[in-house]
Amino acid sequence: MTLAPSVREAMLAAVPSLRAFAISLSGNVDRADDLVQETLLRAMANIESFQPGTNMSAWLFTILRNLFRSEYRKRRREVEDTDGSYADSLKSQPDQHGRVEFEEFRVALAKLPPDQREALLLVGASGFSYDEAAAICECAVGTIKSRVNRARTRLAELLSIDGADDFGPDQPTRAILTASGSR
Amino acid sequence: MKEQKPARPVQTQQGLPGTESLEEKSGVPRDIPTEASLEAPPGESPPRTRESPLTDGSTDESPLGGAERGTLRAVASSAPKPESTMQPDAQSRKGRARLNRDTMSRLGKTLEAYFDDVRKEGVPDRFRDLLQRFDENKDQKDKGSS
Repeated sequence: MTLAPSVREAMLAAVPSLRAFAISLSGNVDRADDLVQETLLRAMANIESFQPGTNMSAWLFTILRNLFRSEYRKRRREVEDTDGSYADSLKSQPDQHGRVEFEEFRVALAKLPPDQREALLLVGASGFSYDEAAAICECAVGTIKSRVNRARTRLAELLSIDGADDFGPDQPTRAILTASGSR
Repeated sequence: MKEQKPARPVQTQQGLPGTESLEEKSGVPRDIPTEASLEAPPGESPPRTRESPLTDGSTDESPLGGAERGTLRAVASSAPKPESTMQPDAQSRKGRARLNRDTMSRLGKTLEAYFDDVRKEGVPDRFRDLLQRFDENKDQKDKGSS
């Protein structure tokens, strides 16, 4: 059975956000694109388990998140990351994506605990509700709220955002904010 | 520090949440008599305190004021476990209070801008081809099986 056009379009429509999520999780464009590809392959292979009318994007995010977590666990086991060096390598990849202006933000994001980072990315950037994020992460809504809150607080600390006019020493980040705010 | 002296009697009378939190930062327990709060440094007031173990003593950073009630309470109040479980809560409460709307808005905009940087690249050909190939393979399999 081939993909219905509507299903195919829904999948493709989710790809840009999936990539952004994957890049933010893995910190590496190539690994992120492999993750997205694997996600789409799994989704197509199991398309009969997708219920038409439900949220295709949330379904794909769930698959990608589970793939990332299992891959992360596997790699950590393989390299015996006892001192956390593999985890550190994820925080600073040479071929990271995007403008150099986001460097400080990217580094701060990578310093968040994985649970908090994914919760913040799902709710704060991917446009999911707390309920949807909780379903994707397979946890309680209250847990997601708490993670998002802690992630915001920690991120603000890392970026030295203390008040309305203080957005840390990173001028380019401030410029980005100004630009995005005026869009 | 000297400026706090005239402020303390006001705090004990009003008991406003906002002012309490400010005063608590100075480490002074809430229900110590005014004279005691003026004279005794924090942590050296056990003989004068009459706090209930179920109220202030159990919720705030008690200055180990329960030593006179016996070793059990002293052990309980100085045990590391309750402190270690309470501390993150207190920190996150402080953090929540500090994150105002403006900060949240700035963080949100940065996150969105960061994601948009990737989103605006659209769908790479690699993924369109993947779905196309999947359909073609399925077609061939279906024809082969029929």
